[in-house]
Amino acid sequence: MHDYVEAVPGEVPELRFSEPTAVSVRVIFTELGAKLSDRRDGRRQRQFLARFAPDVYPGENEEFHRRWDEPLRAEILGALERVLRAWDGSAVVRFTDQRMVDDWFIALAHARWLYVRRDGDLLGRVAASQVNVAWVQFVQTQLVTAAGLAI
Amino acid sequence: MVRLSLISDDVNASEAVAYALHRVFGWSEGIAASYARRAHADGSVELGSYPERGEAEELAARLLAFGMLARITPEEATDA
Repeated sequence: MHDYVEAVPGEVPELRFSEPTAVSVRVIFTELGAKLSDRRDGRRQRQFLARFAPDVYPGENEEFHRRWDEPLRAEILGALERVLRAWDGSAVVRFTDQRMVDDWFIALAHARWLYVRRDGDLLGRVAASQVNVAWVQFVQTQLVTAAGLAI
Repeated sequence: MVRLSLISDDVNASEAVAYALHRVFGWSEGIAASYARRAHADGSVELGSYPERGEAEELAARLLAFGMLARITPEEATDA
């Protein structure tokens, strides 16, 4: 049996996972939740959070981060918590409303920062990170396909 | 006036960029996809100009929530 994620567009779009893939994605989401909830203020944690809330101004960004970093963290964490509450890691996910698609999209978008920097440089064990990033990207692309956005 | 742009990065696929633009700005899928393609081809794409920095920041933060990269720059004054 091979690993897969399949987009099933329709009135109620679906993602269908192989069992090991579903388990892996849920483990990644759980790890992301733990990292985002970590309130320690070490260098590594600051670097991690900077990938979620990168600078938007070419110059001074302190005010922007003071205003937006916490709401941003809360929004991402909220999306992730809703995903984890509604999904136990089962092989079929049915997207019954738009918010659910957005929540998954946001969770997948930020799961990548566990393994890759914004400039595309891989973190930690490169081979493992490469595989994880590729899977997360693929699930996100399948999600967009299932939701009916064709490029 | 400030200008809001989306920056193409080495991480987000065009499909993901289009979805984010569709959701944040409410654009049709076709328009969102065309902006995503332009960002991919040119490295960035201008999304709009705003009289208030706050409005641009709100939209930039929404784009960041969807995993995108955004840039806010002052719009250069033009001679009358």
